[in-house]
Amino acid sequence: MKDFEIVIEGQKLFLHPLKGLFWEEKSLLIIGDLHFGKIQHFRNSGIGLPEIAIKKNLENLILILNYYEPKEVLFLGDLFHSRYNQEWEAFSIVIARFNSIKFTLLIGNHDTLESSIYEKANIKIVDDFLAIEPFIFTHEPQEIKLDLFQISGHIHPGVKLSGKGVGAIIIPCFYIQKRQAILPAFGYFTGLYRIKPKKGDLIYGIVNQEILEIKP
Amino acid sequence: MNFQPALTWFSSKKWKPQKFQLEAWKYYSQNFNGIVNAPTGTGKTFSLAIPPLLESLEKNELNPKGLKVIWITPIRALSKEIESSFNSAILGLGLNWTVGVRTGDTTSTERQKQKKNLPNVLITTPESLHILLATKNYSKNFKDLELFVADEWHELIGSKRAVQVELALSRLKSIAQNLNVWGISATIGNLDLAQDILLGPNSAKNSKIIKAGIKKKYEVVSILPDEIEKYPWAGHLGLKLLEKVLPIIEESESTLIFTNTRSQAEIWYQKLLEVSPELSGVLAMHHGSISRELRNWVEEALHESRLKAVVCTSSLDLGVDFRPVETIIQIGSPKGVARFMQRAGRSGHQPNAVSKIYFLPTNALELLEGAALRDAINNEIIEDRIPFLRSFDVLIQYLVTLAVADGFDQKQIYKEVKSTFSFSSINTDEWNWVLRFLTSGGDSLKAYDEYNRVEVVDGLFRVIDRRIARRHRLSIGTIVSDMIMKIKYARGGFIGTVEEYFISILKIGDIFWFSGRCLELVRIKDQVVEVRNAKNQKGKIPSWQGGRMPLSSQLSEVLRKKLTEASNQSSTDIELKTILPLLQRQQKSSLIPKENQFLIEKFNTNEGCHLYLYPFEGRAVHEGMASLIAYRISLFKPISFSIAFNDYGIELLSDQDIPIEAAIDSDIFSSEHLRDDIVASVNASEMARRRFRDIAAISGLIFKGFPHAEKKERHLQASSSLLFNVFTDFDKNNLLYKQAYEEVMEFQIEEGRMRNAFKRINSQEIKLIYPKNYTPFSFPLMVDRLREKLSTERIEDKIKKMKLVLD
Repeated sequence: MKDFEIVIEGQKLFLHPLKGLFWEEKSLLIIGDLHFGKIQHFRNSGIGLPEIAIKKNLENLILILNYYEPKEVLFLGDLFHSRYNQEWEAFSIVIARFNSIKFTLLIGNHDTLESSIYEKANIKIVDDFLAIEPFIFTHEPQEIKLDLFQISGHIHPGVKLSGKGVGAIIIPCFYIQKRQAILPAFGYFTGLYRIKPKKGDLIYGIVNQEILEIKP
Repeated sequence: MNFQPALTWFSSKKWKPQKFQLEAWKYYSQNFNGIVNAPTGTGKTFSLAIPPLLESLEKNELNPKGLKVIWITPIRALSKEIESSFNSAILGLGLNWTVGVRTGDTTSTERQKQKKNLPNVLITTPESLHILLATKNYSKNFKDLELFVADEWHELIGSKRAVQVELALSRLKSIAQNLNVWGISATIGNLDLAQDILLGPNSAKNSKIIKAGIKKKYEVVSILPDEIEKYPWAGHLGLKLLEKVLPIIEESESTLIFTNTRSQAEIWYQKLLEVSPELSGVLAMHHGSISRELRNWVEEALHESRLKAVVCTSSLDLGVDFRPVETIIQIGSPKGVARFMQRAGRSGHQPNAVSKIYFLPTNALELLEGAALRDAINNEIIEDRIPFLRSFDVLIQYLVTLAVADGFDQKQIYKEVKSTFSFSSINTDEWNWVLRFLTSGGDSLKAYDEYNRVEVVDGLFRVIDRRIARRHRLSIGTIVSDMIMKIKYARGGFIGTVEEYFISILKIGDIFWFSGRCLELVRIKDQVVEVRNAKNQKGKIPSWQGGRMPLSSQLSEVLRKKLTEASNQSSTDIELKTILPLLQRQQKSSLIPKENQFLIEKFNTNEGCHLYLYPFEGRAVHEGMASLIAYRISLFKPISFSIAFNDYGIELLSDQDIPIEAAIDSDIFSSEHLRDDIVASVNASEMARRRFRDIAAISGLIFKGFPHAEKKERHLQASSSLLFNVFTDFDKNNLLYKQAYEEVMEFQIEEGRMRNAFKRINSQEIKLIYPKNYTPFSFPLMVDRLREKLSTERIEDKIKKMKLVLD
């Protein structure tokens, strides 16, 4: 799997097909909308999804952590889908193995676990936003007063592609506008929201484990 | 059994019992099961409602206790009529039986009352019957049951609701020792099979199909364009003939105008009002998206002769009879003989009256279908109904139902399930998979799981979790599950429902026509589309999916016969005479294929190389055939096609020469390796994904939420497409996942029919013609191509060549 280099605000950023963004200068890996626990949440409610699918999320996380070996990881919210369940145990075992990395979570609308649970897993939590110049990180894209470039998640952007005589497909993407970037949802078993890009926007789609530059 | 009390009551009403009624009474008294084959409006209800009453009279049980008769009707609207028939017979025979209706419309107080004390006769739907099975101690309610009737059984077969009936019956038969089972069905091609589906395989013993033998007379009149040369060769609306419809409406007391899609109904409704404003107030519209209240109003107004005409869709195919309706007009081909007869039968209710139906062709070639329809009706060639087999989604829903009630003993229930027609081929491996799916969610790693939909307690499979039980009870009945959204005025007032698909292509402020009104989209909130009346009257018409039916196999066959007659000039049909100029042109520039010929046309335009094939098998089969033939040609040389198809033929278009000559020589129409080639060529996964939506809803994998759902319930919502991805990636042996593909093969690609088509083509003489340009046959295909396209290349492979779609 190959990542894709872009430059924003003079900073080198790498887009990875596993749906993470790596900021080289700070050795910071940014991951949005993991929604861990979702499959288990469904199963616990009697909806029979294959349990093996849970492993996919964790495998992807391990893969991308090994790929960049970052000093810090920032989860852009919606780390855990719902109430506490056994998937958290598996997740915390995984991140405990990467104990040299500093993990931070920006609280998203799905993150309803008690703060002690994050603390126990050595995840620092942050409400609202986190500013590291020239960027500001938020869960939901929102109006900000500071003159910083906003990076967020929440909407699970997907872009619809179609071609003459071949039909159409919606694929996950990184969605970059003038003053903000929106990351695709990292988690397996999360849906897509179709964005409608405008001229001047930059779209990096993910298909067949590759980053594909799309010009509107 | 003594029929005299019934005969006395009949004569007091000045009725004469019909032969089939007497026959049904006789066979019932001899403990037979079976099917009564009789059309609507012939007293079919009394053929089966009378005998259990007579029996009770004989036993002098004027006031019996408990449930005696279950009467299943697929349509709620019919339950009132059945109820009043029963009540009049009960009164006439001097009995004190109670009759109750239980459908989705029944109020909860009424339901509570029924729960304590079920009526002697319960008129209900398959879904509501399953809800009764989901109650504690349900078996004591059913132990005295004597008669189970599946009314309009031909309508139920061909949907999963028939599987619901089969499963419920398998249970009831074990509970009620003296149960007789009967179906009532209109004429269909496979009536014998219909009996097996209801009674279970090997049911021939002690069973009887009773035919009313009442032959309705039909008259089919095609509406002919004055100048066929000027009538369009392609099209689906038929508005050019609108002027000819007006005098027909004028002359008749009341007219039903059937269209094939809801959008067509909207357009015709508007255009009729435009051309003939005096119809305003006496012209109405009726289709499945219009609110229940408005539809009820239309139906009542029809009853009371207050309407001159109603533009409608299949929503008025069934239901109670409207006496004032004298005339039927069918816009565009109905694509099936049974559907056409059903609609024709909505007029002419007086005994021996002729049902007259006008057929309005929407393009010139469609006139052929008018002639074919008349031929088929005269020769009684009627479609089969294809049953659903091995619908594991319905089975899972049913088993959870039993688990919610009292729990089930899997050995006993396996025996019962295997006795049904739908699941007669289920094996123990599959059964064990189903049980595992219920108890552990499929193949479980057992590592850290709390999966607990169904638990085994003291040998019984039971649902313990009350939330799961509650969710299940609410979701029984989700057999039909299009993603639909409500349309409401922003200031209040429900208008109707529309498929989510249509709303997704609209933006705020867009104008669209709906239910005869011009509306502006204000906002979308939750599952509600809020609108206001638009000032501007130019809007889109919603395009509803699913309305366009493919040509049935039976009608296809008659159509091919008509072509042969046209080719031999041996036909006396007015339709064929009318389109003679067109047919002559086809014959001159190419060929009209006879029954033993298969026509292929090939020519070049600046678009590329065109190949047209004419199997005349209907669009559904053509869709699969087109991909398959394209695939087989591409084995000769790497070549990419764009594909189009309609009910008559297939178009393959390529920028290179299509090597059809070489391909014919090496058997591209062979029916061997068909399954493998279908899998290799057709994008079955997309079709299966669409099918999976229903399967996921029925089996309880998707939960749509319910009023006042808690937030944590909302966290349980996921699209069926996401679920489908999970199974594709991790669990391809999941029986529900496999079922989606089976349904695609059976109902969408129609593998069996495709196989027969290939066999037929193989036995035909192949006529490869090189016309100079478009022929009357190929032209409509070329026009259709602009509307829908397919390609032989997979989308993932092509993605780099695609351009981004911007709205």
